Amino acid sequence: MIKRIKYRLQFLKMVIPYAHGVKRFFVFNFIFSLIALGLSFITPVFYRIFIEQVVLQGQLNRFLWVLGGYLSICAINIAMGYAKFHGNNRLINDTVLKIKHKILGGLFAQEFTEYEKQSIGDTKMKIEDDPNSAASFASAQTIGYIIAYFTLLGSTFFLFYLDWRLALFSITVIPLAFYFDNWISKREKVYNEQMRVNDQNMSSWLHASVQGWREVKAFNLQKHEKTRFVYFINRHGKLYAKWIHYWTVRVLLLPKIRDDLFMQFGLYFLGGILIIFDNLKISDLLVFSIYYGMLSGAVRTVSSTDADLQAAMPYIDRLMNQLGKAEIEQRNGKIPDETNNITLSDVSFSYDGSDKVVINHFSLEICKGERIAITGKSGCGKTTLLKLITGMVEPTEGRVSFSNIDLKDIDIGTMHKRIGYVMQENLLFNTTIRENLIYGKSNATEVEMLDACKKAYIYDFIESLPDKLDTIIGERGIKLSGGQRQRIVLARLFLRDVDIFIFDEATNALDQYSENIVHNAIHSIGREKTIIIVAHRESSIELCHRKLVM
Amino acid sequence: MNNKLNYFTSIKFLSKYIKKYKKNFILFYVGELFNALLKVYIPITFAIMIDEIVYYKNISVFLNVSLIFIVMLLFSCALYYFSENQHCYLSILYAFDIKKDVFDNLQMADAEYMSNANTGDIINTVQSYTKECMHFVIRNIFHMINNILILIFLVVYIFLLGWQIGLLMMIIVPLSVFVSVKFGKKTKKYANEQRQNYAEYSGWLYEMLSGLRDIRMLGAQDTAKNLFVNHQKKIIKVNVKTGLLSMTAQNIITVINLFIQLSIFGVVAFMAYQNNMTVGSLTLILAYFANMTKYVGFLSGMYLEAQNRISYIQRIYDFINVPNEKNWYGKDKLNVTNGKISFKNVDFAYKNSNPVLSDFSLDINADEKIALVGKSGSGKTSFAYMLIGFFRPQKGFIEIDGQRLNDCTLASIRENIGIVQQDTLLFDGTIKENLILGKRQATDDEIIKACKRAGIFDFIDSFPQKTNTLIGKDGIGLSGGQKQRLTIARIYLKNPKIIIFDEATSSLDSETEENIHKAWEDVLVGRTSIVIAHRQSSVMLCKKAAILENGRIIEIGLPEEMIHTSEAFKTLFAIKEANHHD
Repeated sequence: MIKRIKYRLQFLKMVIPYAHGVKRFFVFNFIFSLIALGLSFITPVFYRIFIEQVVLQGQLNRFLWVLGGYLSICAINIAMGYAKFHGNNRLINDTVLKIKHKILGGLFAQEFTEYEKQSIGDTKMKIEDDPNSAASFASAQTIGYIIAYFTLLGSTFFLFYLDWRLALFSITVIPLAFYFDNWISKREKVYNEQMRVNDQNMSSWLHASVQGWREVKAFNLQKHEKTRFVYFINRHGKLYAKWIHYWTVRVLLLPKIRDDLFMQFGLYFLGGILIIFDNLKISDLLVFSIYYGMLSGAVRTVSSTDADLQAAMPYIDRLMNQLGKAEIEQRNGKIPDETNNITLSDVSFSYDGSDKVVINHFSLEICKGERIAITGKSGCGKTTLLKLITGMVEPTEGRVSFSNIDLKDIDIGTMHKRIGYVMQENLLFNTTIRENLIYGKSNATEVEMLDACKKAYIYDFIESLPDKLDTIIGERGIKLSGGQRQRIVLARLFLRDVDIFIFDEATNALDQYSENIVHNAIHSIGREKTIIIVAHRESSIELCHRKLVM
Repeated sequence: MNNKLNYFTSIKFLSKYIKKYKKNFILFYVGELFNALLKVYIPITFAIMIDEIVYYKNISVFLNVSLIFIVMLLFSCALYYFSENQHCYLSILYAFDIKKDVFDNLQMADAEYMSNANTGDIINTVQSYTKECMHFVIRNIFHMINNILILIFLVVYIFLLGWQIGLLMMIIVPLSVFVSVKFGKKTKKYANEQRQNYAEYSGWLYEMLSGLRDIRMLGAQDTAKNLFVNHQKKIIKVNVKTGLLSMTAQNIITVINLFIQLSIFGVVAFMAYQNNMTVGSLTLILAYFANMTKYVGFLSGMYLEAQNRISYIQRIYDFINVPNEKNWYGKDKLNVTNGKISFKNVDFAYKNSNPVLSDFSLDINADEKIALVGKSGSGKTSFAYMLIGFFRPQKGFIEIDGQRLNDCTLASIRENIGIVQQDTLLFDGTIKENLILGKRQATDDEIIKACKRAGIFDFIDSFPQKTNTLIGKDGIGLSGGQKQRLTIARIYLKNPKIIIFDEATSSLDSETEENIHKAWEDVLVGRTSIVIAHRQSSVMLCKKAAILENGRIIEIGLPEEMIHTSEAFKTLFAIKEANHHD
């Protein structure tokens, strides 16, 4: 328990700075919750008045008291509910958004080599699911948890106050029930885990099988695949049949014995005997059962809150880790002048943990306005060279500089603003052409956009579409051919007004007809711009002044 | 075929599967029914116990009632155990029957359906939606019937205790139905909006995250950050609206319940004053009142759930009814002796779209090597798919060695024709598992021989586990050239008389390309081969080339000649005249 509380505090310390400006809502909500707790302790008093004085003693005028009590408590609760809702929203939404924003910033600032190591699913978790797990700390994990303990103490007090014998009996039942619950859950978990693994394996097999439908049909593999299918289902069935026993006991039988037999029947039975032989009042017994309900509710809240925390811990750990990383300030580098020449002096490079030297004592100077083609067979280090030039990887030996500043000291963002990098597959969002172009220049005017499209030889195509620039492309819109995609990428690049163009096998996936059009577009780039083309087709190399074979 | 299912047609559709396990379903239902009865019985017991002690002080009746209660409770525990066993049995076997049908249809689904299908959707249909068929029977049929029975019982019993209270409680049903319908519509609207926003956002987020590096290279971090915040704010706004709405609905229901509870208090107080009411009855009425609100809530919740489930069942229903290859009535066994192929006046079009092949005729002689070229969309792949029975000609016919393809079984067609895509799919598993797809009962010797001929043996031999080495997700990664060679080895094992080679569009470096071509040249010997070529060098492997445009062959000839004479060929491969160069 102490460990979990410490964990909570540790996490709170980390996120409190992000709650800047909305912290007061936390205090308000805590006060409201305390008031609500107080009211819930008072409610049974009115019930007791009703049973004892109105029903049993027939003092009908007391009924107005009861009426007033119930109604005002309800009104206060509803009003506080809205206030709490507002506070919670402000608190959670502001804080979580700030956290997400920070993490996104961190993602943009990390080393380039990191991007290749991460799967998108993981990254999405980092920015979406992990921060969302912090939301529970606005109330459930903090205020709710403390209030549950208060409820526990308060209702225990009232139980003993009403009748200590009944209190002793009922309180012993609670830990017993939880003990059994835990004991069974542990066994249940084993099968749960095995079923999960089986399901997962089945999913990935099925995925491959559906994706490979051509192979399945062409090789007449239907029977073979069906055997696999039946195997997975069979295994699932066997595990399920074992699991169901534990589940039935834990979810159906245990609650029945705990709630119906002990909590209700046991209470009424013992209470009844006490009433007959020891003058316990019936109203006390009924009020007792209400407090008892509160007590067991609070115990459940504590344990489910703890379980939720346990379940959320992987998310929270990652979040803390991520926030810790985001704290590291981005270095402030030197701003390069307009020379824009690229120099590699005696550069060597090998990837982490690999003995293979990809680039070996390599020197190169690319001056402003030069057009250079780099060619060679795959695996000879062409792409690595480009990565070195753009600072995506650092040389193991030697020096790479831009405008005569070592890349280690440069402000990499400024440098990237001057470089346009086109790959074989480029990012185009599945949205309108306009929105895609905006990534090139966020405040681009219509004229600028159309101009860029003309330069990229895609204008006529866009004009032929009914929605022009507002045409949605990709999965949800029109499908573009490889050549059209690359030309939109070029248009986006022309909007950016960069000084250096890098084409990394940019026309590889195109048929020769489309390639020609893209080449024409490249050909029309201003003479003062530097162009670096990596390709192995003769036609691409012809665009350049200088050819470098690696 | 496009039947829209509703509550009753869903039951009808499922009844085919339910029938087989009728006995188990009935046993299960009886168990559930008894438990439902026990739920209404418990408050009555407590009411009797309370009245015995408060008013009559009769200890022996008190003890007897207690004893009966304990016996019933233990019995119900045993019953639970029994009925859950039935449940388990059913959810395994009954669901299995449905899953099996879905899976069989998946395997038989025709190629046109499969090429447009969404993999995630299919996996959900097989794995998750089939589970909903079980839930539908239990929650939306059994529990629904039981809940209605309980509600009727509660209402009748309370009327017997005091008609005034009965009337009062009758208000709750229409009132809560009214509130939940009124708010339900709005909630649904918001929920839709929420889901739509979220889908849009997560689609965008996935794209953005996969392009983090590109965005940095574009210098567009700030644009991305702003869009991110806008998306988030949009989601938050709807979330707050939805939250507020459901909170208001909850509050209204709470207030209504409180008023009714207080009215019950009033009536009870008055009746007790006239000595017509006991404390026990009061607790019973309160318990029933609470139950009633709960069950009305359940019922309306179940109704909404049912709507969702019906849409899942609909997916299964639709899936089972997709066009499939069972419509292929060919019965003969295709027997390829020479490998002569002829297409005669073939028409083909995808559903609701322009014709892909029209009046297409082509003869390919035995052992001939022919290259099909043309822009994307000219019908090359459709041609190949028709030859292996993925698609069927809408007019005209295809013959292989004089046998009409339509008259042959799909299995025999696919046994005789090998199709290989350059970016072919290898399954996660061992090398051997992937190779024997070509020939299920291949011996180790045959496998090794095939690997040697494909030039991949040395590579495989360098691993300690040889052909049992894992490839794919948990195994070693393969380069494009190595994958290609495995595919070639697989073809040697399959040894078809006719082979279709669909070249990939993306290019390899010239050395790898040359190597692969060499390996292919060996495979093609002694077989009728159709190469769907994207590169000039691949066309040159063949003796003949046919240019496709708009579903027709516009030119056919020798590749060496076409380089010089054919304008279409020149544009396609951007061949420039030697003197045109600047």
